[in-house]
Amino acid sequence: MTEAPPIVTEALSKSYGSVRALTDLSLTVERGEIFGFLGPNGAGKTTTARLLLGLMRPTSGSARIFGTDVHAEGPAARRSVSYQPSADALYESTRVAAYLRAFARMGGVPVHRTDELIERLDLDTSRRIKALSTGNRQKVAIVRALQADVPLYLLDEPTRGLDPLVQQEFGRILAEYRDEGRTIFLSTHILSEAEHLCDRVGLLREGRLVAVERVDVLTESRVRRFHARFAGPTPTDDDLAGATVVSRIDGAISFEVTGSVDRVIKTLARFEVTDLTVDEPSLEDAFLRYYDQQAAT
Amino acid sequence: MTIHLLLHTLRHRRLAMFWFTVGLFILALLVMALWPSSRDLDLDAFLETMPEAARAAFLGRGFDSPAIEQSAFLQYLGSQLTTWLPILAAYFGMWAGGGTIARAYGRHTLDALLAQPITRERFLLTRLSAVALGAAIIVAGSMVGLLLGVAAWAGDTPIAARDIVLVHVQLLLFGLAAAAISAVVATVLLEPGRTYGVSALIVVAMYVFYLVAEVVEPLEWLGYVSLFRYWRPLEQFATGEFAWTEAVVLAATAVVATGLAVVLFRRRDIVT
Repeated sequence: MTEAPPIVTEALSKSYGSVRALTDLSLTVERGEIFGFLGPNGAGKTTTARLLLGLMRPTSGSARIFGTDVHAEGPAARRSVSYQPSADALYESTRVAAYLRAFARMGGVPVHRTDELIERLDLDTSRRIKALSTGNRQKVAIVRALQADVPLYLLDEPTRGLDPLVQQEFGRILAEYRDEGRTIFLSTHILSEAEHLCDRVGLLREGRLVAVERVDVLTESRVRRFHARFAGPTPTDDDLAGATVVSRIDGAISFEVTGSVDRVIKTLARFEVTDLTVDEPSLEDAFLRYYDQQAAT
Repeated sequence: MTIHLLLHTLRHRRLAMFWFTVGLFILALLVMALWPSSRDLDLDAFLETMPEAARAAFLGRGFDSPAIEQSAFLQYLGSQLTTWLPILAAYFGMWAGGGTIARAYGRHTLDALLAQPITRERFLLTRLSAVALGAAIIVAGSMVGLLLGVAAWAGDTPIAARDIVLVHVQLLLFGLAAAAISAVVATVLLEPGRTYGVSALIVVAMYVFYLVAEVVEPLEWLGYVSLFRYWRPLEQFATGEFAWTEAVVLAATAVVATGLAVVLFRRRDIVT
């Protein structure tokens, strides 16, 4: 394995006729990180993954996996990668164990941890794939991808359909892979998922990479909107110092908090709260607010 | 890796191949089993009532040669083989050749397969090799059925085992040419419904071309673009001579179409 970064793209673009699916993507993913590729459906995440795997030819620009051009030397580049597609890529009539074995053989790369992954994700390998629930099918796809002993994993919407406990275990597995020096490129449209799983995230909007930032930096500057209803007295603006009060209507207050919510929660605990909801900002809002703050300072 | 992909492909087609093989074996046996009860029918008189195009369709190319006109057995065998064998071979070719790519695309498994460290060329050639192996097994089923049937029921009008084998070599080449053409269609269209639809259209068009070319002299050239022109079981049985030219044309069609499929597939974006 070379010292080159796992993924480097330079002005990578893809158009379908007049439609630009991806525009000038320049990105470097470092070794030993979990990189979240965030964006709404249709933003160009899957197109990027396909370009990285040589499943599509770029209209312009280049992509390299560990220094190897994915289009000029596709098989050599893919020897370092394991891919989990977003769509079901399963053989319905095959039993899970046979499916995993078949891909282990066909993959042309060594496999590892198969039994461990099966056990930790609680996957029944004796069943036929067509009999599995959506979540279990996703587990099969995850095990198939992660059983490859390679330095880079491309995972497209990997937690789709997984229950929360399995998502947590999946997160622990990814963290272990990262700690072993492996790199994970994970595409998702769920901000909270990226927050929990990733070290760094890139936001893709309409085929353009609009921001790349560390997750801890984003989290610190993240704005949450609280809606609290009180039975008796309501907190004053002074009580809610650090928060921005948006409205007060008949014993209900809406306010926004940037960064840690610890202080606000302790304040609210001193009052009789009858209802409390917290809105998570949309992906774009989170990023745009962050960049607005950066611009303002 | 290539051998695992080959075995994987064969494993996934094993049930269909098994039933195809058993079906052709039984059909070949049945054809011969029915011969004793058909031999007293005046097939020649019946054929005389048919228009030339229908006779060409019914008996195949060479139906008007003296050897065949004088042999009720060859007429019977020709009518059976010409009617169903090339149609089944073309159907198998469409299903298997187009399926090399279209089935995987339709199941969303093509991404996962092509994300492996394998070139597109090797992927497609491996899949088509599996088709060729499967076709050989299926054709062997028909061949064994016909050999056993001839031994059991042909009576005093046997045909040489060599001729039966060579007719099935022609059949294999016919199926492979159809499969390769369908693979070309699949590389362009990817989607299974459209792939099988267009492939079927091509087969039907070739059959119509073949019939038209047989009866409309100015349009004889149309026959040359039809695979059906190059399937000549009757001449093999009547003369014992292998139709080398036709076999070469079928083999060349398979090779050229495979090459074209590889070139097209190499540049094809896999978009879902």
